[in-house]
Amino acid sequence: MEARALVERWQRGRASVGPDGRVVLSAARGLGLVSKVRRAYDWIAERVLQVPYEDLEFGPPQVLGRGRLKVQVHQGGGWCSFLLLPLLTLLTRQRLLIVGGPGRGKTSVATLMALLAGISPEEVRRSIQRGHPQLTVADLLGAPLPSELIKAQDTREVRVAWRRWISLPVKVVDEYNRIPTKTQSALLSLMAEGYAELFEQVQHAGPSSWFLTANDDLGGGTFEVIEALRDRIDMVVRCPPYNGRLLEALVEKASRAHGGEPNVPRDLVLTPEELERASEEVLALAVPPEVTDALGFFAGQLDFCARAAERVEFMNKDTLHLSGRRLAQVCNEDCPLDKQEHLCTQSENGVSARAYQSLLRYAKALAWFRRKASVGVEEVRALLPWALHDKLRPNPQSAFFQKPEHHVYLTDRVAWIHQLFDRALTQRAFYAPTRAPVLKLTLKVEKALDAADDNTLRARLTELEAQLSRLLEQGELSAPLHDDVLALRRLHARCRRRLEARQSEDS
Amino acid sequence: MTVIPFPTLYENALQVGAQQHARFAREHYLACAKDPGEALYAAIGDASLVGGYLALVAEAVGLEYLRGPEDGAASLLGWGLLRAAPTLLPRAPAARRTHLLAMLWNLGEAVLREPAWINSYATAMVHAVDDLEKLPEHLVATLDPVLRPRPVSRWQGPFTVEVLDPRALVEDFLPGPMHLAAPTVVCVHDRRREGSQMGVLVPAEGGRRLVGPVPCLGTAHREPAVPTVSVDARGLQVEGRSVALPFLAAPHQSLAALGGFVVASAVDSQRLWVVNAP
Repeated sequence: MEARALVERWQRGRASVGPDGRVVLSAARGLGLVSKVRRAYDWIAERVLQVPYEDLEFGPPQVLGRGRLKVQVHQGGGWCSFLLLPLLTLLTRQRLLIVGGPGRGKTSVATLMALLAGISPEEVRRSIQRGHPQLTVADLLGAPLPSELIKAQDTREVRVAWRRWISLPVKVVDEYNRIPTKTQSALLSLMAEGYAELFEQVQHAGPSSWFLTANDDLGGGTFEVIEALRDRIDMVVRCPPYNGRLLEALVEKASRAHGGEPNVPRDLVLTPEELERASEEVLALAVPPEVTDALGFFAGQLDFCARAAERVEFMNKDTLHLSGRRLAQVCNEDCPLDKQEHLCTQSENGVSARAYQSLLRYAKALAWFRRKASVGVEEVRALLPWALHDKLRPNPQSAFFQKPEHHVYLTDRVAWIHQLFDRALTQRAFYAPTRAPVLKLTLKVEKALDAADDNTLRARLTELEAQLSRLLEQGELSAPLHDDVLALRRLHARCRRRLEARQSEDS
Repeated sequence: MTVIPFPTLYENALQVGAQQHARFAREHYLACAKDPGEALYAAIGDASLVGGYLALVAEAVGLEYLRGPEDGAASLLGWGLLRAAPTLLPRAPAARRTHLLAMLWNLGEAVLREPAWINSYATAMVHAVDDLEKLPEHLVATLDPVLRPRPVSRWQGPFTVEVLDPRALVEDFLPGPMHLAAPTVVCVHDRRREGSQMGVLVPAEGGRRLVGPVPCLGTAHREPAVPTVSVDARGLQVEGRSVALPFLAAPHQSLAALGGFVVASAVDSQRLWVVNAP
């Protein structure tokens, strides 16, 4: 380094003298995106909402205390789901439901997300959709211009004055369970399909993050929430309860002139380009096969019901529900599976693929936030309770829940789902030796399917049949076994189809 | 013309800082801006310049460059804003003050992005400056010898030995672990007190000197294939040669650099021995 050149370079900084003779400072070099989002979290947690706990924890746990007075502390740091999930929703453009009692900060946190996305405080205030029993589709989406209604010869000629909130990148719907059913349907189209339609005209919502709030975590407001709308919600998060530290934030809020949310510091505001880039970076993160396999194993356990059907393909809870029955009617002593071991007994239902897709998106965002190169099982575990919170229902009649130490799982849904996932991981490890030959054969057959000649295909069919027989000889058909049986049957059918197709082409 | 009271200028800059930075701490701004700002305003009475000065302090607080008056000795930027601006700006011609204020910011912020030892060294050496116009030239003059690389030594001598005494800078400093911060800069940690360090500068032209106390000067600089040296009661042993080290009876630590110097310490002494073999 040459000293003179160095000092000359130093002098060409961002401070200069403006035309009016004042010192002028240009913008500082921006933080990295992850740092910026982490800083936003810290700012909200420390200066705005004063969260009382960090429930998304990582790293090896250390158990302090004994018996019921046990607390785990983790080495890898932690964050509060009530703040982190909204931020991850902003990054992934997903749909989050915030539930909790009145005055616990549901709307505040949703508003802060809109402010972080660069929407002005006035616009945020105007754009919040407040659910009430008289909310009409026109209130929600917009209305035709009255003058056009008279002049128009055709509905397509009627111009609609769309509500501005529809096209904002952050959408806040307060107390969505107080919206009448018909208006909920209009909201569903907007949330699910990304557009609204009135008078044969379409208004697109654009890439957006949704924040919905509800006072009751079962969705029971003034109106029952339609199932399809509930299913479109990707995550649910709970407000923290009242705590002493919250008072400090309330005092600070009371001392602000307008009483609303504080101004978000400019160095935290994410530009549309930054949000786009963050979203791309999040989506680009890899989900290793180890993680998808663990999640798949877990999902299979929840869906399975050996008593639902005779054919293995239909041994799932959907079959049961389609026949109008509930799990408790078949999950009894007639089913030989141990109710303390097998997870299928614990949940009334399985969960849709959409829920797992959403979970993986959030897991990617969490891994990105934690500066990891790929998603790990721990991100999936941390988020699973919030992804399945409103989607997975327990089967309270299960013998599992009759044990006194398991009663708590009927009220503590987060602990229940964590327990389910942890047991699934243990079982997966236990079944690994049984699954290994199945996985090996699966890979071998899939590789052979395209290129193999007829004789090889026949040989593979024989191998599949032998493997299926070996599996079925191992005892009762449980969820892990069922998963492998289905996989082998599927491959068997593909091989058979391929063989038949070749034979018909030859003839 | 209406005179703007200092509290108004102070509050305006505070508002801008708080709106701009998530980590802006009012108590740090108060600690950094109030006294120097008031002194500057009292000395020059220029609301525009002092408003700009307070905005720079608010920016530095928001970016966490400054936390309190003690930072005036911790970085070149701290020195510039908290010490030099209130005392040296009033001495400069009125027409040059805004330029000099901008220069103080630019130099200070740029140095923060350089290796840690440069900031510590520049801050330790800058107190001699009494005219801000001469600051860039002063920095060139002080940095040039330590930035100029030393040719790789063949350790053939002639060897010269110099004894440095940290007591002149820190009364009870006891040399402990040491590491290279740059080709000509050694960071020596206090054996007994964590967080207390000295810098030993060994430029090619001679003129070894100590700077400190300083924060750790950083361990970014690594040198491969440094000759093995040992220090015993006879002195320094390097490449088959022996160099006597006066007064060093019980060796403690030593460090050799490719540029041909060794820094050594003793178990029972506060001194540092610098052997030079260009």
